[in-house]
Amino acid sequence: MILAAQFFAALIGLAAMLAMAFALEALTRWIAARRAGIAPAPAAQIGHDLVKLLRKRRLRPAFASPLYSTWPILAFAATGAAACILPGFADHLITQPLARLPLLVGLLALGRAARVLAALESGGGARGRAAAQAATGACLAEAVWLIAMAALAVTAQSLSISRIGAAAPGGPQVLVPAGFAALIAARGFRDDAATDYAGPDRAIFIAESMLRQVVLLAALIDVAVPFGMADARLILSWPLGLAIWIAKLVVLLLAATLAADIAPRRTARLALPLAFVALAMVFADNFSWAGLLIAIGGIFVVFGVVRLWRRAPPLEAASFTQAGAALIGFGLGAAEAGWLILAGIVLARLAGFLAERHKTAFGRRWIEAGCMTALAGLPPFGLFAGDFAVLRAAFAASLPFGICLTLVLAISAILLIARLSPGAAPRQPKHAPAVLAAAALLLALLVALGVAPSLIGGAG
Amino acid sequence: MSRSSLRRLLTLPVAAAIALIGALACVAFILLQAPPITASVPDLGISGTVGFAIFPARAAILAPVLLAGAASLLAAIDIETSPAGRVGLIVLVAVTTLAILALDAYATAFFALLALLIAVRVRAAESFALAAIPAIAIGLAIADPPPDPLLVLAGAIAAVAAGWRAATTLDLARLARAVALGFTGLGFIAFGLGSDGAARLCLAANALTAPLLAIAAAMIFEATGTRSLDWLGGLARGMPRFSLLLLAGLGFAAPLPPGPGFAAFLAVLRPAIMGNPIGAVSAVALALWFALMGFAAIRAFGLACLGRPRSLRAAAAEDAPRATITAMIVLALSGLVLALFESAENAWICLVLLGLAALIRRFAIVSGPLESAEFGGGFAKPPAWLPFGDPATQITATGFAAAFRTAPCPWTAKLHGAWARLRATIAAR
Repeated sequence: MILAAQFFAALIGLAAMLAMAFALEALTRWIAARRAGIAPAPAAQIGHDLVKLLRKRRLRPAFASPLYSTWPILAFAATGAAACILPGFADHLITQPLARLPLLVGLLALGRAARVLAALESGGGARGRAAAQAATGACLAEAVWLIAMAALAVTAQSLSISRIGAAAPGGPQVLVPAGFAALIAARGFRDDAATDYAGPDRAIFIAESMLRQVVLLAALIDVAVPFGMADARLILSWPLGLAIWIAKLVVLLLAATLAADIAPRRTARLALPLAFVALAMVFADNFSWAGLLIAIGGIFVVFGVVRLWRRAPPLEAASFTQAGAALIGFGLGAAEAGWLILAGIVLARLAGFLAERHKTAFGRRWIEAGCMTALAGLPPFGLFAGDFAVLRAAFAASLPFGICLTLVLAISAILLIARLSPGAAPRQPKHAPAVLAAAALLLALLVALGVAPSLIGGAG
Repeated sequence: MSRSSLRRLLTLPVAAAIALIGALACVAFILLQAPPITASVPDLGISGTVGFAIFPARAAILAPVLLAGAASLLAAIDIETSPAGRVGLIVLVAVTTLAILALDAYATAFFALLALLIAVRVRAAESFALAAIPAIAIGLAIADPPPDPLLVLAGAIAAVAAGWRAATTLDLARLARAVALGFTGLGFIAFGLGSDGAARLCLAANALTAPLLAIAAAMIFEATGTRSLDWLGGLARGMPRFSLLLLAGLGFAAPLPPGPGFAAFLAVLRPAIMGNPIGAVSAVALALWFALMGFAAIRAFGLACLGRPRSLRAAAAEDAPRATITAMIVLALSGLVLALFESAENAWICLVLLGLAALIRRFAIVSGPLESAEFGGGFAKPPAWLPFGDPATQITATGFAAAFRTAPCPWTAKLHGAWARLRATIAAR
């Protein structure tokens, strides 16, 4: 009886994965369409496209090998097997003995190998380059996933996915860096090398890509936020578990999409160091959160100033400096100031993102100047209040530390203001009142935070 | 015994058959859990007698090595033409067997050094040496000293270095050597962490993978006149059976599931996460080795066998002769059997993969493909004397590994340049 329940739960889990593959793809396309300013296609379009492709004639390029039609099947089988072994909405599935982290990474690697080899089939120049990039990115992603998950596995003393998730191993000082490392690196698995496939083979590749998105998100959920899972042996717990699982998938997808917008470029480089940090945390005795936060904050501040000095994109570099100040604030006990700065960074970056996406919008330069002033930590914006409180806490902790931090933040502000060149005005400015209004509203919120920091609890 | 009958006895197929029978006997020995068999030769060695023994742990090391020996001997029928090389290979197989079976340290060292000498001197012996030398080295390690963190560190360094080498090299033979080094590193990690079974599994995976790749490298050299990935391409059209077997070997080395390499990886990862810093170091090394070897295998297969040929010899290559194909089949099949037998996860995943593949093939693929002219990528139409298109418009192996070959930032580039100059200076001396 229990075995049958576990078996049916596994079947339902697999069906839910397939359904969510469609749903999340539809959501992704809807977001992309809204952003591009075009009307989104109906969700059923994905299914129509796949069916149409399945009915088409298969083609193979002139230089393709006899293995040409193997790759899509192999890729789909590998990703499908990964979907089969993952515990989705419920724990204790019949597939639980197979739910192992190295096996999951191995299957993802197998699918990746099939995709890259498919891209190399025709001998096209650009396709080969894309395949090389996809292979390199996936190489990094595999290493990061294995190291981050080894950190979790060491504390759980097991490679089983459900054991790791259930143990919430090692406390947040392991889970947070490991989770972020895996999340950042997951993009390496998402790269689809362009292939020369047409018709049904192409449909299989598209379906595999959709399924892979769900598999990656579900794996992250299983490891990092496993709360609310159903028990496969208790049928009554299934509906709630399923609902919670779907909600977690959607929230994670939205969060990942938003994070991709405001994260600096080349964030992927952080994944490997983060994974190492997670592994080191497992063995760090006498661990102090405050010391770690101040140390990481210091690294962020210096890194941001160096990036500014080397003329990196100013908003990104300044965000690093300010995020470092926020972390130092958390470490020194000025948590309100830290939250104030983080909120300020998010608001300023979103405003900057809107301005950057609408290059010809009227008033774009004013918004950019506002963002840069805000991220420089100057009044009247909210970041000034946060920085002020952090510096006060730093001086209270130790005089030399306070002086150093003040100097570094001042250098960052000077570098940023020096970059505030007017630049060429767009020749034919377009009126985009909605964009302008949204960005101005964000900046106004920032000013409000600066004028009245007590809005979110005061800043020291 | 007359001279001619001795010569007949030493022919390669006979030797290969003897090695194969020996390997099967070893497998039977393990499966039946037979009691140890010992033999001793008096009046030899440093202690007055030389002893040999076989028990299940040794049989587990010897069986894959003898399989590799059988395959190497078979492949030598096509590849090695000089009689001296053939005899050298046969002697190497015999000496390696004796080194693994020897009881005391003196006899082991004696035969091991002899084997090393032959392996260095006989070119045809390379494919077998890649299986034999790690087996003797780790066989010695398992026999004598206790597990040691230093062994783990050495293994970790070897594994990462092997992964890096495999990911950047242009030469298929060097790739095979890097595979052997990587599995040896894994074996040392496993042994240093106190897991003898995992170490033996690494050795077995190595003995079935590295010789397969070395035979393939030699065969590619026979067929195309080069082993450089930058001059190959499109071999799967002219050499379909060979390419399929090469794909199996590279999949074992990658190490992708369900292969013996993946079984070994799983077996070593288990003790590595048991919660000490040395284990964590080895886990990092394992992760990097896994990722780099995966990249290297894709690169090697994609550039050698897929796409358009990069040289005329590669375009005109014909499939490997029967003996070589048989040798590769022996290794690939026994690798698969080992993987499915050693790891239940591998067996289940193999079933799931086959089931899904059959399902998708049945319902999604309904018609055969129609050949179409490919999109030239925007390049100009190649002239008539380049029937396979311009090779320069295709990615090369050098470019494929660009991310690993170029320095990540300016000061490392300077460091790299200084190192290259130093090497050039030493080479010039």
